[in-house]
Amino acid sequence: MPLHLHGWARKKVEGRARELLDLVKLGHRVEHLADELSGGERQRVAIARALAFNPPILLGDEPTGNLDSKTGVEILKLIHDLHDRFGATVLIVTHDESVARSCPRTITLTDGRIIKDERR
Amino acid sequence: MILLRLLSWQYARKHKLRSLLTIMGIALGVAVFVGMHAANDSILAAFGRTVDRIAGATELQVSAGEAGFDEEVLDAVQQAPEVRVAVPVVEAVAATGIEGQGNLMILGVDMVGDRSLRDYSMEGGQSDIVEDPLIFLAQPDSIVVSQDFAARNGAGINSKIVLRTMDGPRQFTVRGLMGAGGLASAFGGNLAVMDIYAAQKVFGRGRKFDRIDIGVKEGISLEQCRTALERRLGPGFEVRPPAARGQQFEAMMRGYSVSMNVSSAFALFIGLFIIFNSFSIAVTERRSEIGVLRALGATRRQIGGLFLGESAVLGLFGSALGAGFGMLLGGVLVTYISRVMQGAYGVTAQNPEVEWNSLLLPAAVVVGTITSLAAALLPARSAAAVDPVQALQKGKSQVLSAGENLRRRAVAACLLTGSFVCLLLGSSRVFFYGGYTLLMSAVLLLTPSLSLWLARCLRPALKALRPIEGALAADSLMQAPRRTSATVSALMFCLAMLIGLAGTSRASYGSIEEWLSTTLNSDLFVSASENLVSRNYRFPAEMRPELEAIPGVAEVQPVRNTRITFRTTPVLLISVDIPRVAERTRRRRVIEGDFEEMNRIAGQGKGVIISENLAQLKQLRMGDAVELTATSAAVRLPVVGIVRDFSDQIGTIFVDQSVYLRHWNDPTYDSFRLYLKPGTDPMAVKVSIQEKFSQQRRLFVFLNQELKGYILNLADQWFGMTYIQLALALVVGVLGIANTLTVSISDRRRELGILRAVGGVSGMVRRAIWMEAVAIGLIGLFLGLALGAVNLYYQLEMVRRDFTGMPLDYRFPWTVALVLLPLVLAASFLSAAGPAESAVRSSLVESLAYE
Repeated sequence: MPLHLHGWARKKVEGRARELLDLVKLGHRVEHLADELSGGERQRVAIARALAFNPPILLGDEPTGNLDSKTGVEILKLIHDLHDRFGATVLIVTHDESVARSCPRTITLTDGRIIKDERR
Repeated sequence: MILLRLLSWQYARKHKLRSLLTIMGIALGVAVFVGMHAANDSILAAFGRTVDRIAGATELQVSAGEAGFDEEVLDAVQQAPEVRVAVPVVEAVAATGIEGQGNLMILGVDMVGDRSLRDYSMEGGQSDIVEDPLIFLAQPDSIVVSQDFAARNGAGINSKIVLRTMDGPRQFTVRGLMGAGGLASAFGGNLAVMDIYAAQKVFGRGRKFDRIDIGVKEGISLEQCRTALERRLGPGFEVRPPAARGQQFEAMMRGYSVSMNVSSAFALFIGLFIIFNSFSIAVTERRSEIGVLRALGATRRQIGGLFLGESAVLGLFGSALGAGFGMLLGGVLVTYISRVMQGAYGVTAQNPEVEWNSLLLPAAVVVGTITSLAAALLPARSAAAVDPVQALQKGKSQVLSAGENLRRRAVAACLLTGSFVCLLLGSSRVFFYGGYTLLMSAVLLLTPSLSLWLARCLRPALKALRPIEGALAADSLMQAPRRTSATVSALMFCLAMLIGLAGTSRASYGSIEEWLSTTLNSDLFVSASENLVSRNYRFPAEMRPELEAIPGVAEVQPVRNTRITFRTTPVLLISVDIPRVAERTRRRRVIEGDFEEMNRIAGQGKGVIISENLAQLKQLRMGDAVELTATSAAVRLPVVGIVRDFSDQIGTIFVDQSVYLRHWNDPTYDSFRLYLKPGTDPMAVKVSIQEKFSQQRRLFVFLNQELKGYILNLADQWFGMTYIQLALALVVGVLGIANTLTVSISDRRRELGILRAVGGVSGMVRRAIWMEAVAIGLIGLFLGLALGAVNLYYQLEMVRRDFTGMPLDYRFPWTVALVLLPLVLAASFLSAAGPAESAVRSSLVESLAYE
């Protein structure tokens, strides 16, 4: 959709979409509707969409929030892989300690105030 | 285009019924537009074609109004050096009495010279009769009909045909048949030719002709010939090309054409509001989707363009569909309008078929699509202005921010002030219509605030009825004024238009009834035609003493109506014995002048009395000189009085019969008004008249009540549109409320789910939805009636200024308003049925998991 909104030609949109879906390991599901995907797969699609224009910053609002633990780990691994590959800054908002611990820097807020800024 | 395919098409597929209703909204408007214009154009074209075919090679026509002129004028015309050929004509429409064949147009001509102008394409074995006109002349019952007419009625050479003449039913013998095409195809093939002198007798013309048809000498231009003839004949005569008659007919149809344009505009307006309503609802429903699109990078322009694109596509489909319906509607309307024109003016295009202007259908599609785009403009702007963050928050979108509210009210206040100023300055059209537009715009802006305020007022009453359901219904309205106001606006404007039309109809009826009781107040009317307005037949002057001799008759007042051209407009000239008429019509509404004085002066032949609508349309005042084209000379008389009169939509001039006789030299009458002696039974006199005259004359006798019934029935046909518009207003109401409730339920899924989860039974949910629907209906009704009261004033002014010139009294249609209450309530219940069931049957688990 963002590619269409930017006026890309249809063939070019399709090419880029396949490329992104392969990146998130969903190339085999390209013919499926969103309703037919699992929660984790939908999250992968959302990540692929966010990467459409190679953004310098990627924002993730509870990216593992609605997922079971196993799928959540997979998604988190994917995010880290993409960060390593493309070098984009990734900013994740989470209530999950394990997700926070997996990141090199964690800023903790309570009642809107920063109470801790940890680097690992 | 890709967004239309990816998003709009999916939405349309998901909401098939709503999309269909939106398409039908514009289809309805376009269908009425196409049907009305096609019918109007067809009637005019059929009349024009009849005129052209009858005219043949005629280049100019000499006439002197409907009264005709003496035979001696023919010599003067034939002697003009510019004239190649000049032939006299009597033209009339006669009833055949043959079942299903209707009227026959009779052309009375001088066969010796007429064939140089008209092609008769004669057929049949009696070619010697045609070739020797003397034989045709020697047999005054001779008639020539078209082959088509003969075939339809099993007639041939020497067959007998009965025509209703001034002397009663008479037999005529078919002496020739005209082949197809040319003259014979005029008037739908129902055309006959007879000797002109026989026609004079049959139609009571005396020694007069209706017109002279002229062929111009080679080398002379039409303008040269026309100028020369007008100079030769003097004032009172018109020399025009045949096409000018079509223009006159068009002028007579003007009132109806305007009425049709108003109906077309109203239908398109309804369509516009259905689309506005649907798109407003759609924007509200799709706010989350819009928010997501904006978050994904869609620009405001893309969002606005998406909705406009959707409306263009729906408009295109709807317009194409409407054009198709319009073609069917045109076929129905052309017959209806033709009948109304015959009833109102006594002229008709026999069995007109629908004719299609090549530009009409494309124009209709363009108009429909533009209307659809215009309707979607505000919702598209609203969609483009959606804040992505707010859009993804439930419920926030429905609330009007305080800032927005203030802005709307401020702008509305400015517009209202502007409207009021225009009203004060209102003499010019620009100010009048500008003020009207400003007022409507202001009301549109204020509708959300007014809806909110009325919802607050209704809350206690709703709570008193049903504490829980009533509160839920009222709160739903108060929390979502945007959602409600789109439907309320649609309903309000439709009802306001309806009140305007109903009030105009009622005022017209009231005024017509008053006029009938004060002016057409004789006990009996004796007319030469069954529809009172046709002037094909006339009575001779000697019939008056014959009527006076009938027992029980106290007074007979003869009336002669004729149409003359006054300042390029065909107006009605009524010739009566003014002082005697005045004695009987003392309660007549005088607009300007003194009743006694005007009748005294006009009775002496020193002035004319004119109708109020003529004064308005032609800007005439007391003392203004009116120049009338009579056969002997131009007659200049001052206006000595202005009265309210509904004899003719275009306008009426009253002259004393002495003036008419002197200048028009026409002693015939169209009708007689009979006043009876006290205690006389009108029915008995009617029977006496019919017994005495029916065998020797063509005449029709009406009791006063019968005449009134006929005229009011005619008015009914003119105002029949009001009932259609009532139905349309209700359709808009049902559609709008159903749409609003559907979105309301969608927005309130969680709320309704919780209500059911804590013990609310299905009936409670249904009642809440019903009460919300009824509340929307009541708010729309209240605002519609209030706006309607104002709109009625403007509509009456439009009628006075621009349509018929007839000032009408302001009478709010209370009966219609009272009838609307149960109708709108019923429509509200009906519209709530589907949404209420949908709310009750939705999954409780899904509703609670919605958030």
